[in-house]
Amino acid sequence: MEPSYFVQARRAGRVVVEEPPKFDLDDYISKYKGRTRFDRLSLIGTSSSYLCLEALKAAIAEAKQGSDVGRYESAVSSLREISPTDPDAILDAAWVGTTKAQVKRNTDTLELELKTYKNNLIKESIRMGYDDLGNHYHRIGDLSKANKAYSQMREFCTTNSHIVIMNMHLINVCIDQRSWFAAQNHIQRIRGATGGQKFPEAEKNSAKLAAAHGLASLASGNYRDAAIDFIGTDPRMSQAKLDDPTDEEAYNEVLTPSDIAIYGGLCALATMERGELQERVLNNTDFRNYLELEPHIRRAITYFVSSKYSPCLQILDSYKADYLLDIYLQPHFQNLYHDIRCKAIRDCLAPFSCITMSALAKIFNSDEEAIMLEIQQMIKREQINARINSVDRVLYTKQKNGRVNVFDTALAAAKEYERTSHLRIMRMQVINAGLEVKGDSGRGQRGGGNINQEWAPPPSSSYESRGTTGSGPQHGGYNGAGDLMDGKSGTRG
Amino acid sequence: MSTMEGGLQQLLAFPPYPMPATPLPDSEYDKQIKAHIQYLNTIPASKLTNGVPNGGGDLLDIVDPSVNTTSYLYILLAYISGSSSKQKLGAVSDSFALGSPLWHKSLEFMDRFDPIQVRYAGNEFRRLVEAVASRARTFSQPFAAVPAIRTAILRVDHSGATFTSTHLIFARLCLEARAYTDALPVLDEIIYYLPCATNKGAENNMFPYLNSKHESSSTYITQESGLSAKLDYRDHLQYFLFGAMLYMGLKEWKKALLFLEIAMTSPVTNNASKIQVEAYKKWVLVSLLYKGSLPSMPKTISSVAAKQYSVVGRPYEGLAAVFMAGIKEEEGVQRLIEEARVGAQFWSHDSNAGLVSQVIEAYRKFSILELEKTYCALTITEIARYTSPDPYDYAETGQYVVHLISSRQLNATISEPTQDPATWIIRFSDSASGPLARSEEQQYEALSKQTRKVKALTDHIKEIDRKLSLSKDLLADAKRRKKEKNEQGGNEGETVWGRDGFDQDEDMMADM
Repeated sequence: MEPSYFVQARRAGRVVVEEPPKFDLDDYISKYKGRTRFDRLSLIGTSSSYLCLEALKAAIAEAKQGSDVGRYESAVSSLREISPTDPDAILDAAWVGTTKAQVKRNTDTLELELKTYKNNLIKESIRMGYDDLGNHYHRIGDLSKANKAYSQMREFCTTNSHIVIMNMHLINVCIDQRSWFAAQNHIQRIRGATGGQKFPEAEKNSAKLAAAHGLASLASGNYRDAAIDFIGTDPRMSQAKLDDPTDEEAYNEVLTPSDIAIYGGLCALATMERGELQERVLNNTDFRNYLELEPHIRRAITYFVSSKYSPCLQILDSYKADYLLDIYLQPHFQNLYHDIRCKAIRDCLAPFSCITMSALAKIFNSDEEAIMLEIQQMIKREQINARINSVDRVLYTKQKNGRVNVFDTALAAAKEYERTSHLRIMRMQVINAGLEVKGDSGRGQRGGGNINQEWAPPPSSSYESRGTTGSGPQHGGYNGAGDLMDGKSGTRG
Repeated sequence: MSTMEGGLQQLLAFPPYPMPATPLPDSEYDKQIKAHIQYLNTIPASKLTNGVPNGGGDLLDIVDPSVNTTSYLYILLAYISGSSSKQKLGAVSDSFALGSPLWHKSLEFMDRFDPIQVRYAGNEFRRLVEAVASRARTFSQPFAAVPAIRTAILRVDHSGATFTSTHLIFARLCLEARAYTDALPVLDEIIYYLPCATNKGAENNMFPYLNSKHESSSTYITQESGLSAKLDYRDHLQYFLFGAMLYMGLKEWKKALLFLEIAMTSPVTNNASKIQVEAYKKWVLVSLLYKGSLPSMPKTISSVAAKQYSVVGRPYEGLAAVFMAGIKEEEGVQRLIEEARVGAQFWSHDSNAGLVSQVIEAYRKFSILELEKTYCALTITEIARYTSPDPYDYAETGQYVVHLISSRQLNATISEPTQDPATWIIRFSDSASGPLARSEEQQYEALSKQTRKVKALTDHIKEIDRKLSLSKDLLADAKRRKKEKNEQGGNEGETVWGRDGFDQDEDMMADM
């Protein structure tokens, strides 16, 4: 029985996933660390009708271990809407009280410390002070203050590695804030244009930077850029130990190497042609390290490259629940899937001049009516160049008659030339004869109303639809054809 | 000249009779006709209307309008303005009524006058045309003057390339008379020139004589010639608006659009003219009728004018948006009808209600044309479902499609396996097949026709270019540059911009 919460969510246009995902929730969440754990649990809790209770309870437990009171409260209220009787759905007021007090204490201490450092004018201490303060604000979920604190570090950075640390902090805060443009800016500050890093100190972050950039592109809907970023990610992260918090390669406070494989693979499938997929994705020894973590993506791409669209789409369908429960993929998966399907249909049609709907439906695991509707939409959006014969239920790809086309375009171009030249000539003539429209610029639009009485519109309404029997309108009015904005007629009237 | 006897001989003095074996050289002809007109100007009107004494009869019966055109024109005008009110311009005698002998003589004159001679009497000729037009209008029979004035316009300037005030008079008469087809011979001639103040010194050197053969009518129809009244900016705007409306009456949407665009894009110093705004409103509707969509405004419209068009034309743009969205989304016509109903007062206020109702009718046609993009074959039942007012009336839908195909609005074929329209199948054709496809010969013919048009256009452009190079502004500028050059010469040497100035100067000299 689906909780009424999801019925409403669906009505409100939010994503609701009924199917159970392939992953095990505990396993899944154990791969992440930091704030993203709560974010991910909360998203699963509010969009999976299958895992909601488990995920929300985990989210509440997660929140209680931290010091971000706001997210604890939001998780509890979500749970209350779904299952009001659950013991966890009651707000632990005592915890909230003590945590708030503790947070306040911490904030005060850190601000005070920073003040002392500032008085002492020791750059490094001030930088550390801002660093601590930023970390604190980030932890308690005050992202804009965290961003501010990190930004203020800048003038106290004395080495390149300080700048790198500062920007990495800022990137993470921006990702949490979903300020993708700002995140990309911070990435560019420490990342050279051609993949190399501006500072040697940033080299060890290269994989993280590429992944973060890809994520920002994905989130802003630039799937092709995202694909290029992800497949270009340095393989160093692929072997990161996710359970070891001291492993500096791990970036699992944002995403895991598996995520890189999935995001990169899907974006590539959606935006690259078959040859490109083979060349840049499958034959890419660097990206292979990531793909090996998610063999199903590798299989899907391989199927697509070898024109086996049906199994490729089947794989994506079977992982649909997983993708839709991913915090970054959820808003984009439908678009990506649609693009992949369109591209598959387009590629599939390429060798045919005509193909029956039933054959097409079979290739794409669909029935005739559904595929016809889909094709109609694609033609309307000009994604494929074909026409439907709905009588025989056959799709014809448009054949170009080159010779006729050349004739037609030549004629159209000549006519257009004649037309625009004529218009230009008339403009020149009007200027040359000093016949520009001269109006009184000072009067503004007020005069417009007065002119209407002066200038009777011509009797155009007589054409066809109306009988020509009516006594013609007064034509004397034309002589008084006033200027739209001319105030003179107003003063006369 | 004491008697009219002697006067008559002088009236017939030009052109010389019998015709000399070799035609007069242009210079001699020019000298003689100018002297003749000077003489005509001295004769009081009463003398001209008195007739020939001793029962010699009416001068109009004696003088031949096709030979002694100028004399005949002066006599006609004398009669029209009435003997009593001597030289009072514009006065019209009561005897100049529709159907009167004088009226018939005037119309006959327009058919027979010598087009060369009237170039020397442009003002008088125009007075005659205006008198005829205004008479026809006072008698509420505008059509009575249409054929004669049309002939007159095309005889003065057979190329029809130069705009005159007579064009506007003609277009208005046609519109009032609803004589759409009768307007075409003039409307279809492309206007390339507006009479403008020419650089007399330069032009007179190149075209010293009005009677010579002129390559372009713009060199003898000038502001000084009198063949056109002095123009106001409203004149050409109104002509193109009226012309567009005449084309609309014939459903010549494409030509109407061009005329409307000429009016809309006409340069504006500050604010747009009301006439231009009217043109814009109609342009929106006619675009829908012609293409089924509203293109973006022509780029040459100044930003101020474009904004004003948009503000005043908002209800029209709204209607167009509903029209296009409906076609795209395969919606029924109901929303468009509703939108048209809401704006009803706008359309009727602007006298565009007829066009709007045609737009609503056209919606169905464009809905079917839209299907062509997605389908190559469809049954009538499907077409009815998508586009018909009654989605189950297959017979009516079938008829409508047949009508579209036979009126060449839809390039498709229809197959009728049985009598029942529900079984009919429509096959949309592409440009290379179907009833509207052109054969190779037709393609070639269309291309060579277009080539001829572009060639003619190029000739006009050359002429316009020549005119511009002689315009006062350009010459004044060239003089100024030359002066600067002289002042600068020597002491300053060649600065970078100075060099540019010199180069252009050289070109100017070469042109002259």
